[in-house]
Amino acid sequence: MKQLLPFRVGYENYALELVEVQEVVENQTIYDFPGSPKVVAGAIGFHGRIVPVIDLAVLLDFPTGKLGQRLIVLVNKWGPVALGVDQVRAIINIEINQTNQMQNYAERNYIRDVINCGGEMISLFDLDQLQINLESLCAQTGG
Amino acid sequence: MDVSKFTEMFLVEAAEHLQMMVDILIQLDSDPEDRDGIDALFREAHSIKGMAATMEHAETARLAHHLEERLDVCRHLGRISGVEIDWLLEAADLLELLLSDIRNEQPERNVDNFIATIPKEGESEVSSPVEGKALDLTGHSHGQLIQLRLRETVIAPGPRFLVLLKRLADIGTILESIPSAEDLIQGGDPDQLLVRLESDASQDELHQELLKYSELQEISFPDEKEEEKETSLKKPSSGKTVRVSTELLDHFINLTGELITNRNQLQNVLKERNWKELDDGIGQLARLVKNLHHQVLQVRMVSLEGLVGRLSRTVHDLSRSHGKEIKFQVEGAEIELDRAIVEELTDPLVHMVRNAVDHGIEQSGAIFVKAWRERDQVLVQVADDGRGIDPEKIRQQALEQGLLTQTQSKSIRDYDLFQMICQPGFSTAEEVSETSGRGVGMDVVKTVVEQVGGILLIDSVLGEGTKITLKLPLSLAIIRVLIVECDGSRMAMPITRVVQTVEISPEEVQSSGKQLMVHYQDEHLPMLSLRKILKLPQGAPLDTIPLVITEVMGRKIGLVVDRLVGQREVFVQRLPAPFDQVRGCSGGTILGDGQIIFLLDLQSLFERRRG
Repeated sequence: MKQLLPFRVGYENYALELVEVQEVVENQTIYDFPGSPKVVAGAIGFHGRIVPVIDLAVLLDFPTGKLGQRLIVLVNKWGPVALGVDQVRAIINIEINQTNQMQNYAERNYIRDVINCGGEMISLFDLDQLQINLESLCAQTGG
Repeated sequence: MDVSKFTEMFLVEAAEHLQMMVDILIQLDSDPEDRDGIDALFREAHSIKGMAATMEHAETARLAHHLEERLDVCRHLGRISGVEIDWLLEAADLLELLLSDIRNEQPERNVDNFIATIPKEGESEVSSPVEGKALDLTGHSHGQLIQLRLRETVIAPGPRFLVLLKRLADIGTILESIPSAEDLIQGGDPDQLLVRLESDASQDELHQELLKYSELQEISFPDEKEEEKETSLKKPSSGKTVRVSTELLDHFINLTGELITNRNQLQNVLKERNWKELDDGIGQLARLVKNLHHQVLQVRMVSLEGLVGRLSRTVHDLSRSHGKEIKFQVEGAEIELDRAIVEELTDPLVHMVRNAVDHGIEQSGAIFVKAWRERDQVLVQVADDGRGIDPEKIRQQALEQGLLTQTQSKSIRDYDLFQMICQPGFSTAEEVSETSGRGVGMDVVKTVVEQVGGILLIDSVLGEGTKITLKLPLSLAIIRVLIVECDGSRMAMPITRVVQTVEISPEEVQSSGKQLMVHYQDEHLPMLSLRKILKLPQGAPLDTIPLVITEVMGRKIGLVVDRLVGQREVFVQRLPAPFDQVRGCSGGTILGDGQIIFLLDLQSLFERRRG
């Protein structure tokens, strides 16, 4: 049994495993981060630490809206970082098995797996890929 | 019983005693009849022995005991010879290796071989000025070790190496080679060839001979002993423990006591809603926090003394092996810097001193290491009175490597030319032959200095010497910054980088071609817009233009911002990886009202623009 935190970006449903989430924060002021790549919307102060915010709409090529209403702060394993999303939904408990796993759809970027959750398709967001791409984006800012 | 805790303590203390030993040895080198020094040396060896024996590190204890006995003889004679000093330095290196074995939880290496060697007086083999011979005698076996690398463009390295091997066989006898001639005939395309050659030809003659082969990228004569030393010095992990004087600890306790009183006072204020007292209490709190901050900073500060000890050792070893006579002078070793900065600086400074010995000084000369404070910065300078850097040579090399165009090479200032030696991969022809395979280069030095928020300045006069100066912040964590506003967001720059802030009227702006200029203290400075640099939209014209006069790449500029906000002392957070890689931003801080302000790294912003 897994606990998932579903959220919405653009017109897609995504989810993170709950163990990867530290906190969901709302209505934050996002401060500009000069020199950062475009996917970095800025940073928030979170319990006394500076936490960069990734605008998932920019990352996933969706139209961008006002950011800062809903931010998902990831656990420290992902180096403190927050993901800006459009909407956060209620946690779901689900057994992931062959009947609801639709791996064939998981070929797009940043998607680890696609799950059929009672007729609704939810894409499991791929944090590993995010981390790797962030590394190369940040290193490229020199160019 | 948890032994690991004690092991940690043992390692830290033993390393301190060892460093002490090396320092004393270097001092004794110039004053071999200093009885107090010899006594102190004996005590250090004795301490290490005692500690190692308690911790049951048998080999370490055995070696320390051996040193102690040897030093006892010196004590009775009342003097120590140069040969003995070198032998003891070697022993210190071995002790360091033993400590790293213990640290890595490996069995200690055997010290029998070393104990069997005895420093022989009368035969000044080690200090012999004849370089080639000295190498032969100190090496593990006979013959000269030669390392060859081919250019990447060479199509068939295997056969090429075979030809070179045959040629070398004409000059001398090949004792062994990796890969061997047989292996090369069998095929395979190795990327390097290592040959041990017994020959009457000197290292220089061999080098001259090999230079005839244009396909060779690199010719070097590795000194096995030195290589071993280098790796051993890098191993010890930077200490995770800090020693704090009991006096300072008492201060902390007192401060904590006062803070508790303060808390009670404030709680009382809240209960009684006595707002007059609140003001008082907060004022008290501010004072205490400032005091605490100051004391904590003190704990992080270390003097440059330990580092300078390393440097004098480097000069000592290098001058012996190169047969050069070098005076080493230090000034300002008592200057204190944040421990993190000092740790980062160790390798770069060792490299700078190495450079001075290798390239600066010809036969004899002096190296000066000087440290001093200037406002919020510490300056560390390595200077030599050697041959200096020839700007013409750099110009030529930069042209050849395509780093400069013809026109650029004519107009470039010496300052920028000297900075070119810090470009990765840049080296003049001479350097390739002399320092290849020598760890960090000037590019690494520059990177490290800039990472800790400093700048590197190179100044050299041909025939008179070279001065390399590092301007460093006192502390990494808490610094004074200038806050500016640009396109609605605030950012900061370290005050150490700011020359002055001024406000000018639009009439004062002049233009020279495309570039806007401003007159400032008899100089015409280029005006650059921070909005433009950060690729932000252009702002509305202003009645007065706020300017930050700052220095980037050794040149003063006027940086146009929207508004000058003010100065402030802030606690800088390093950004989490990978965001610390973002060029142009060296960290951030959260102000009292929750506002986040990022620290601009102007130097790298400008490099980005240039690149």
